[in-house]
Amino acid sequence: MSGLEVQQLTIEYRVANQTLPVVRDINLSVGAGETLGIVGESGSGKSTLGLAILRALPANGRIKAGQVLLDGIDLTRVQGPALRALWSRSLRLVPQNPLAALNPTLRIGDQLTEAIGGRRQDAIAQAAALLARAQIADPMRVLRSYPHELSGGMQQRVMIAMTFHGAPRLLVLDEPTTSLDVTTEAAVVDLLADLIAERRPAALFISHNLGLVARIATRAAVLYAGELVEIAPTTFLFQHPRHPYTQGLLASLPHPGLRYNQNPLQPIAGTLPDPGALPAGCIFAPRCPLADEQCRRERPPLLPATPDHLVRCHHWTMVEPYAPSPATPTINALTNGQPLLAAHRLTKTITPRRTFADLVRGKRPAPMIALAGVDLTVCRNRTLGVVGESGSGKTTLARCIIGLTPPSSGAIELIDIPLAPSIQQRPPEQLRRLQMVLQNPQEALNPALTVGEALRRPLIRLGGLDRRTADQRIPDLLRLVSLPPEYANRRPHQLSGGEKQRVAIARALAATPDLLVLDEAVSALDVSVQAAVLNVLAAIKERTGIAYVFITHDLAVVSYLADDVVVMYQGQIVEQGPVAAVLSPPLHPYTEVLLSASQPDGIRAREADTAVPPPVSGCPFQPRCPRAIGELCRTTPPPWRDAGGGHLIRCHIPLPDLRAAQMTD
Amino acid sequence: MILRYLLRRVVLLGVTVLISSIIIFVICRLLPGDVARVLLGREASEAALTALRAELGLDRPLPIQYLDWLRGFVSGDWGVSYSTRQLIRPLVFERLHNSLLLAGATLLLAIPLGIGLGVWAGRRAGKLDDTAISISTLAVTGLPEFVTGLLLIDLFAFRMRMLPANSSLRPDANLLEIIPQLILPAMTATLVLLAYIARLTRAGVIHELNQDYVRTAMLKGLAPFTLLQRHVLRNALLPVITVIAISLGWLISGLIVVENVYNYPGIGRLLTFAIDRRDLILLQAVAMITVVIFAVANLLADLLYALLDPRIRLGDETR
Repeated sequence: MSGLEVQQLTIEYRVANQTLPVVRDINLSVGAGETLGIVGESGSGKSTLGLAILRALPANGRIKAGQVLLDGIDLTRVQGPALRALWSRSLRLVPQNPLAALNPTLRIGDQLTEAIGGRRQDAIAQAAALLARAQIADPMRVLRSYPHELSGGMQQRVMIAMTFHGAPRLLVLDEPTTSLDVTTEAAVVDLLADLIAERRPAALFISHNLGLVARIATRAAVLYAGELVEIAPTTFLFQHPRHPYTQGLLASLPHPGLRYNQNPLQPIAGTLPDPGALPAGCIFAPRCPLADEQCRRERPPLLPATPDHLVRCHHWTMVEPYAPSPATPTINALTNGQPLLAAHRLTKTITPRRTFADLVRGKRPAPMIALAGVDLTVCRNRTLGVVGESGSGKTTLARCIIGLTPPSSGAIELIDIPLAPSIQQRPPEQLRRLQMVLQNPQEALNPALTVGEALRRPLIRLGGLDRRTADQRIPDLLRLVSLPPEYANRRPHQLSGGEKQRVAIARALAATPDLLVLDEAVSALDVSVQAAVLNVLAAIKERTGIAYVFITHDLAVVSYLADDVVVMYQGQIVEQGPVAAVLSPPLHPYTEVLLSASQPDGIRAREADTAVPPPVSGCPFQPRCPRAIGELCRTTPPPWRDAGGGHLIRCHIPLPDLRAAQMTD
Repeated sequence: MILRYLLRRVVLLGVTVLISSIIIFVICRLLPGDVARVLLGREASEAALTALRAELGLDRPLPIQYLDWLRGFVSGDWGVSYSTRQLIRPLVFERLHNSLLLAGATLLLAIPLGIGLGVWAGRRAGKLDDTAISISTLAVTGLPEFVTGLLLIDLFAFRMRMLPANSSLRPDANLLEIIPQLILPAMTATLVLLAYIARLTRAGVIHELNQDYVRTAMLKGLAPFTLLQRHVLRNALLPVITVIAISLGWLISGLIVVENVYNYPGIGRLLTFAIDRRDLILLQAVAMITVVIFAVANLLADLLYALLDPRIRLGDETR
């Protein structure tokens, strides 16, 4: 038969003299030309499953039982040269991180031709054609480049080109767009869907992003702790989830219409079971609101809810989708807020270091303008969302506010007290009032300190408490971020990712700051954990009156949590205002492009040609703008247009035309 | 542009050498013992000593002596040895030539052996042969060179009678005569370097084998050997090459113990000879040439790394 058929696949890892069955008893089939989504959070075993199917498990992993049939051939029995021949001919992988997946010291051309094989001249021609098919504008230049000289999107297009040489029969896409910007992600997903339809391999699309899976896959399987808990056509799965875990995932997912104060997200309680100590009955029972004696005793089989909708739950008939009534958009205008922090005309120019190659070619890298004159006001007890693609300057802005990166020019003041540009020059009182939470809690916590010790330091240093009073405050701080007080004695390695991030938030709150800057603070977290952290942040804000600057690339999170939002592009603010006014409907073409990236047929930005420098004088977004109106955009900086209620848009297109465009689309 | 970078590095190198020259000069003057007394012997009269000091210029102020010496060194006039009355420059250059020979012979042994063992151990990480390689290379590195040297002499020269125990080269020996004399000293120096090269290679191979791009290459269906040499080694050996380039300085001018064990006429033995005889002017010249060799080896290492790795950023080009 044609396509992929996985039967009773069980995979184990050897970790510290222990064998852990990380994936158990998986059955699934994917026809040629079909895309099956594999959904799950970290620890679900989804990447392991993908690698095992390709026979590319790391050295400590092995297939313990089961079959992987590709066009009738059992891949688990193929060895040595036969396996290498299969790899080169039929099996393909598009990995998560394209930069890591390309050899840093070989040119793209060498890496592509090596995969294609045959005579070098033919291989180069074929490689160029593949790159062109992957929508790379200048294939010959890319062939001569090293991986680090390309943007993330280009690197992933190279990987895709490499994947689609010859006639692939099986394609595993392992989070192929997770490291990309939303706008690039949209284009790459479109390309993948296109190529799968054209070449017709059996495809597995592995992702934690439910929305993406819904776009590209016709059916999806949900993995939890190494087991397949539900599989169904994607539309069914997302509208009528039958497994409590799937239901919980969807209820954790921020989407338009949800607001923290009206219809909050419902995170899944508890944590993933330890793969060395799995529960006896249903593996989800310890976290499941429906669990009863039967669930704890016997493992449920995959039951058919409909013929093509299978669910591993005793009580699937009782599962109801989370369908809150949409939030009423309340636009409480910016003017309601009491200003807390203001930035005036902030600029930051960064001169990159030169590479040896630059030197050989006699090139001097152009200075990068990270911030190009940003004016910003943050109000008390409000959340200001800062959104934009990577390179838009949002992290630089955060670092300028905190003082980690002194601006090149401009000033920041805290309710009329000017702040010193650098954190070293700021007195403790100013440090106390501004705190920050970083993206990666793994690296933000000192592994040698217990949670209590990490919290005690800011209490003493910035809070001015003596040691005894500080220690009395620690349990309160932990409760504030919904952690039990006993956690004070734990060390970071004993915490999950979400718990670490909560400790990082607690540490930042220890000094009772007026403003907390959160730089992609929930981006690395699984959706169920992210929902819990977002709700904790919302509760703290209600209770303490703190203000947040919430930096993220995720517009759904901003629309859930933020009161105000600024949209940044290449170091400039292009739109700002109350979140409901800015996002629904989007008026600025860039905001519109960002928002519609998650829609299958949304409006797309044009791909910027890196060879052509952006206009010096005009609108920075003009080269990519789908609604650019011509010469004016290229030559003249766009004016600020006032849409009322603090909503400002920087665009040449008059407001009525922008509004009309949203009505007709 | 590249020339400007090179020029800058060479200027920096010059500054390094200049600072070192001051340190060398000052330390040589601080050494206990009076040159004149050493040269003329204990019985010499005070008048004779004063006359000799004046002849050697030792009675002038130190800065003048320093500048005089430096000018001479730069212009190629390195003076005459106090103890042997020979011209210093040809002497140092002859020894340098010998040292280069020994360094080359050592690298010929150490590089293939160290990398080979490292690759083997890295591919078999955690297995018995990996542990055996790691422990044995470490053990021989831990032994001082005079111990390994004497063991090798005992084994190869006295018991097996395969190789000469004494490597003092005849002045006009041809290469065929020299090679057997090079083997034992080169083996001794190799044993010191081996563990570094092997361990660094092993660590590199293990690190690279776990990288995503190796999996990408594997999934292209490449043969294991192609995978290893084209992808894994290409990246794993980058730091190894740098370490080898840096160790070149030590190999040329730091093999003091090895050269003494085998009586090998290299820079290292010239250095001990100069110290022995309180031959300050010779000592200064040898120390200076050592500094230059180390500085050049380091520059070579930096340039090699930058040439081999397209991602390398040149740290000092900012602002």
